[in-house]
Order: sequence, then C-alpha cells, then structure tokens
Amino acid sequence: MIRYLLLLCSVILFSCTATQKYTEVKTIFSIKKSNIDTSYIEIPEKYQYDVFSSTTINDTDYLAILAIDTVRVYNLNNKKKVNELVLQSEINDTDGNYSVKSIILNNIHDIFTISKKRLTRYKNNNISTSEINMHEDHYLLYNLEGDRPYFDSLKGKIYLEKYSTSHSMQSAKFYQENVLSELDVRTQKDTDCAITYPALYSTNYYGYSMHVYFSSNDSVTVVSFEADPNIYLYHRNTAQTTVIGGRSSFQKENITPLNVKLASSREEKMKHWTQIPEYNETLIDKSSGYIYRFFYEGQPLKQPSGLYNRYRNKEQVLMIFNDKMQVVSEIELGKNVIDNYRAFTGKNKLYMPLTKRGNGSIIFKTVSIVL
Amino acid sequence: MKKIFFIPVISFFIFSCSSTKSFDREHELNVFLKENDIDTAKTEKKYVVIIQSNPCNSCFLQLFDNVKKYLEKEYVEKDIIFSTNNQEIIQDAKLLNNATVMYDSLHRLAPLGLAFSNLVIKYNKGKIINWAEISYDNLKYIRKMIR
Repeated sequence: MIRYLLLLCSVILFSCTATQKYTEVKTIFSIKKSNIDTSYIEIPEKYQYDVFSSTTINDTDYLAILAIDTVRVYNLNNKKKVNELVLQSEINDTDGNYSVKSIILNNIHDIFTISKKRLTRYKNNNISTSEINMHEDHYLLYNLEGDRPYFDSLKGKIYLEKYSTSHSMQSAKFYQENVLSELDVRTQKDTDCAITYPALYSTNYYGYSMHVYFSSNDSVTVVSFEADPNIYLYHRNTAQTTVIGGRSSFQKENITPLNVKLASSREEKMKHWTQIPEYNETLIDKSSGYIYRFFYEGQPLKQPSGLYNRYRNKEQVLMIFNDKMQVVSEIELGKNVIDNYRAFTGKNKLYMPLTKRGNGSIIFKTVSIVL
Repeated sequence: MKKIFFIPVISFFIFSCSSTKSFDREHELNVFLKENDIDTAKTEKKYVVIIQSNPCNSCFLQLFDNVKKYLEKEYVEKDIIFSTNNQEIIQDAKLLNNATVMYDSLHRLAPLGLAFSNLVIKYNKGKIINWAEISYDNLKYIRKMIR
C-alpha cells in the first residue's frame, strides 16, 4: 500500500514539475523569383529616434517619433511633417515614472503616450491622462528593445510588452512569466495575455539574447524570441497561439546557450551575444499579412586579422514570409547597414532606416513585394 | 628527507601567493596603452580603469561611485578611460587623487575585445597582476584588490 502511495506521489510530483517541451517547427521555403522593389526615401529629421510608432491611413504611411518632449508626425508619401505635438506633464519627471517610454500613432491627431505609470491620449485638442492601474506590482509594461505597442481600436485595448521584475534574468521563473499584456484604455486596467517565453528559455540560459519582439495587425500579435527560430502568432480574439517555423537558411551554427554561472559577467554575456546567430525584429505588414524578419548570422570572436568582432559586425539577413507563412525570400543586407530596431511596416512595404544618416535627415531603404 | 619534502611545499606557497590573474586581452590592452603614452612599467602599482558602458545610467553611476571610493584610498597612479564624453562624469573622475582621465573618442578599445568592458585592472611594473569586472557581485573583490 505504501509503495503504491509513494508511486502515486512521485507521478503527481513529476507531472507538476515537468516543463513543456520545446520543439522547433519545420520552416517551409517557397523561394521564388519574387518581384521585390527597393527604393530610398529621406525625411528631414535630425533627431535619432528611439521611441516611435507608425500607421497607414487611406493608403498613406505615417511615422511618429518622440524627440525629447515633442512628437513629430511625418507623412512618408510626401515626406512632410504633418503634426508636431509638445508633450505636457510627462517630461518634467525626476524619478522616471512619467517619462515617456512608448508612443502609439492611432491617427495624425490621435496619439497615445505611455510611461511607467501613466497613459495619456492626445486626441485633437483634448488631453486625457490617467494612472495605469496595474493588477500586480511585480512587473513593468516596458519595451526593452523594439518599441511596438499596438492599439486595437475595436477592443479599446493597448498591447504592450510585459517584463517581470520579481525574478532575475538567470532564473527559469523569469521565462515562465507572460510577456504580453493588454491595457484597457477606458479602465486603465491591464490583463495578461497567455503567452510566455518558449520552453527553450526555461531549460537554457541565453544571456543577453533574451529580447522579445512584437508586431501586430488587426487580430494577431506576432511574437519572436531572439534565440528561437520559431515565430509565435498570438490570436488576440481567441487567446490561442500558433507556431510557425522561421529558421533562416543562413543559420549555419546552433544558437548555443551560455553557462548560467557566467550570468553576472557582462563581459562573458557580450562575448556570447557577439558570436551567436539571432532572430531579431519580426514585423507584420498589416495590409498583406506578409512577415519581415531580421536574422543575424553568427560570427567568430576574432577576425582573421586578430582584431575582435563587434556585435554590430554580424551579417544581417531579411527574411520575407508570405501570408501562408512560407519563406519566399531571404535578402542579404550586409553588416551594420540597416538599423532594424527602428524599422517598421507601411502599406505593402517595409521601411528600414540606414545606420548612416543623411545630412540632417533619416534615409530609409524600402522593400515592397509586388503581390 | 624533511628538507626534500618541505622545499616543494614552500615553493608552492610562494608561487600561489605571487601568482597573477591572467587577462586574455593583456597584449591588446598594452599596445593601446603604449600608443596613448600610458606607461604601466615604471611603477610597482598602478590601476587602469576602463568604462565602456553608458555611465549616465543611475544604477551604474552608483556602482562606479563605490569603485571610486576604493581608488581614492590608494595614492597611486590611476588611468581612467571612458568611451563617453560626458563632461560631468569626466570632471568628477579627474578629482580622484593621482588620476588621469582619457576619452576614447574613436572607440579604439572596441576592436581589441573591450567594446563593452567595465574593468579595474591592477598593474605591477608593466604586468597585469589582477583585474575585475565592475559589478555589484564583484565589489568585495575589487575592495580587496585595491589596497
């Protein structure tokens, strides 16, 4: 009898502690001689933006950037500035709680600003501001990299990256927390979306390669993790996630984990991050459903000359997935030519800022697929 | 017999006490220091501090303040190399006794494998005898090292 009880306890204990297994989904390639148009556009903006948002209204693409205390909105079709909004209270902030972390361009005259504690909407000439009513206090609604919150106007909800502050980044628990949150614009209450890091991160430690990338269209939020070739499509209406294969044919090496004992060493984490391949910004084109994904190839620590490679020396590749989630094209972009952290999609188009700026301007390389 | 037994034991102790903590980019760093007229060979004790992260980050500033306190107690030469040109931070570092501050404006440390390094390096007559990454985990170690 005791033996049976022990066996039963073991089974229960095992089933409680067993983590979900990670499986890489097979990538489907359907490489054809795609009709890809590339061109360049330039906007007269001196400020090197970090916080930005884009939208398409009546076939015209718009970009809003935060430049210290001003949001400037550009029409990308005629390259002209169409709105300039001087922010009010958020900027005069000493403890960082109200400094603007994200903006959302819903319309030329309808812009959200989001800080750690406050949501503000500038709509026409009205400003409505309110404190965010976070349901717990052990996380931040904060974008580590790639600032892409999304406003779902039908639901009246904003989708933001959720970042746990209660576990250290070397703890498996950090990677079991939800990574996306929906913030109700009317009540300012937030709710978790049922999507976490893949199980890969609970069993391995990837150091700095733990960034999450988000991009949304009307019904889906595309989620991508740096060390994982898979792409996760979170269907917001059903709270279900579909997984698609997203491995680049340019990935020659495995994405090796880092020994967790080295987690406190910035040097070791940088060495590791500089060498491994990684999947970066993954952006959905709202009109065509195509997905653009930036892949960084791995590289050795040192060059043949004996000099050390820098993180930015990694070769960049642009992967393009069609609406059936097949890879239709992979384009080599070179090293450090494209600033993919500031890239965004427009109508049937991807805008990629060049790392080399113009004289007082930002130059975008654009890629369009002729459907 | 006893002598034969004790000689290796004593030698081991002497060796372990005087052993140095090797630094994999010592050669590259020494070339850089020489090119910038930073002489590490003439004194028995000298510190080279490399700060490549953004020191405007309040968390890092606090950490660096601790390191500066330890360095302040040592009246030996210190060379501090920043990758930032933040004058407030540079002027503040210059206040340390016997300190020379350099701004690596062309980021020449980066291709030497020091692109993201925050380090305290202890030299003895041109050789690195100890070093540590500047981090909260290493503060105790750095305090012991600087004396």
